[in-house]
Amino acid sequence: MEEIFAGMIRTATPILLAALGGILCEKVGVFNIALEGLMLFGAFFGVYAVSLTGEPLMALLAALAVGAIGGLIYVILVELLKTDATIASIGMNTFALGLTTYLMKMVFGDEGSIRSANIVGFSKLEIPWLEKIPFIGKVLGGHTVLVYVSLLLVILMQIFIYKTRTGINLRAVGENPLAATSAGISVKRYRIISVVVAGMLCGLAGVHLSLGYVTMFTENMTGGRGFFSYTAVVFGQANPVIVMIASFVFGLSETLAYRFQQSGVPVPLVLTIPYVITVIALIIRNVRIKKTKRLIEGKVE
Amino acid sequence: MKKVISILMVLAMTLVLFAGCGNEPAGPGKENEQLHVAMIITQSLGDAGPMDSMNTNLKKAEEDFNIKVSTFEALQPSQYEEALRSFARDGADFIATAMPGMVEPLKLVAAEFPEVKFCILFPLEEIDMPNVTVVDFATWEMFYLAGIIGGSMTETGVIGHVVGAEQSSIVADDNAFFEGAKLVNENVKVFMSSTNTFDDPAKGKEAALNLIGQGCDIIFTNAAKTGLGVIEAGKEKGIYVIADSSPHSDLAPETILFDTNCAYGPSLYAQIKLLAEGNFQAGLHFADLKEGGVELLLNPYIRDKMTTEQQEKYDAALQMVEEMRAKIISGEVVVERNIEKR
Repeated sequence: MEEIFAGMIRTATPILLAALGGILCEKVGVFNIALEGLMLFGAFFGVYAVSLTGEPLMALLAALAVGAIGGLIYVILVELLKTDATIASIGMNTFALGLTTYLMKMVFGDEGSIRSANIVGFSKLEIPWLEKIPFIGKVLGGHTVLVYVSLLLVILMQIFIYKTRTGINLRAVGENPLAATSAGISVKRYRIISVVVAGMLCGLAGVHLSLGYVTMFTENMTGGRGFFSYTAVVFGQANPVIVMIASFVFGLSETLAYRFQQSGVPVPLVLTIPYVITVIALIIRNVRIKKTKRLIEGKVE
Repeated sequence: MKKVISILMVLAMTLVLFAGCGNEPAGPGKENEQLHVAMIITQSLGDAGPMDSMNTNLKKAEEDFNIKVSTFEALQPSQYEEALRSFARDGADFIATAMPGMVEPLKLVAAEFPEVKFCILFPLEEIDMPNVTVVDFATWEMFYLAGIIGGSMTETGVIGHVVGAEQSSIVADDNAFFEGAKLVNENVKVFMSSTNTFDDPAKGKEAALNLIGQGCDIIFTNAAKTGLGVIEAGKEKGIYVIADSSPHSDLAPETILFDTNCAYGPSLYAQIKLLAEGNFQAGLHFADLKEGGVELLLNPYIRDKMTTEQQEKYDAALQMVEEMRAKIISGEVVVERNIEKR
């Protein structure tokens, strides 16, 4: 049982980190499904940096930097040059896949993956007091550092968005840019900074995947996790805590899919679990939202 | 006037082209009856894997059978068809290629040149044409042998199998492994876990960790790049891993038990041999243990890392593998290709 939940947290973390970036974009009103591509950048450049320096810390910095650059390029395209956000996202994702594959073959030779001895992953954190707690210790103990960072970020972001002045401004930019402008808030500045930070979070998600989860880079190793992140953001209506729960649901359903395969249920059916859960969750969520909307509208009338 | 001159020039140039063609039919290959074998590969040489293996064996065949050989790297899918056609037109007698991406171009070109013989290794589908040989690997034979070692080495009696997809060839491997393991360990269990992808190592690792959580102490893979994650999980938890497709001993010298491998080179050599002896056969051919098409690549470091008790089991298992290999090759034992899920 503990192992299933530990597996859930492992699988959910890359999705959660990128989703936190997605929340920022959503809150300031920038459509961004380039999370996948930005993650891939982080994953590759993290591995590249660690192969050059042998320092996992450098990998972290490289991923943050390349995520920021990617985010900046995206926001310049969408906000300053006013390109269509969907097209820019698709472009970004394709570009990331192409560039990382090309560079991998250039730098590391013509192979489908990078996995050499000088690639050092993040070490697992040992937290003695946490591991002493029954159940929770087994679930939360022994993960790599970014797992804890992601959980911490959820709390920080919840406080930031709903309790601070800047957070309120941020939401105003997304909900009503005109009103925000007349209140003296620079919409452009908020958007640019938010998307750059979102890029950095995606970079973290990527480097967690390539150096925290496993210790290698392979072509297209994000495998659609960025899109799951976006789904989590939509599902959680960009509320950090609910987005975290959504990521956990994805993680749990993937872990359960591996467990259920030995139960005699046809495997292809079991493998649809994550997707079926996504659809069901979205339906429940939307029905609820409609109900609340109706309630609010009713009161106004 | 200018126009007339230019038309004349164009005509002259065209004539020169035709003149060039006229000399062609007496080209190389046909005159001295030396067979021309062309190999078109879709990945570059230097992979220390299938491509290099095929190239080495092609060179070996060149000396052994006194044939003319050429190798061409068609790295872009857009080049596949043209490369096949150029060699067919140039008078190659036998064109060998590999990988699923080549199937469609091959079907087209093979229909255009019925007198040229084609051979495709590992296409993942059957091609029913009178001039095409399809070579697939009798992987179930090697997984049967792998099962003998796996069954001997497991202490919990539970073995995991991480696969990239639940397809018939992989189910056949799973069944063969189970049969092999049962020879030495009657109560052995084999759990198959599909990740539904062949290139997501993170999913492979998660699947492996879940299998380990269910009591597996040996995991074998059939999952290409997804398997890299399994190797990592094994390294982390100290669990033996039997990886697939290429040597992985250097990645995890202490936990890779051995690798299962499809030998492209020897399989190609066997086909060229058939051709040189005039025994070309179209249709599906399984490269088996007998012709060296499938093999186990042992990890040279693993024995030293074992306890004495494990070493005894390991040595006994290897000895039994050798006996069974001989029996399979002689036809005394037939490993069934069973694609029904257990």
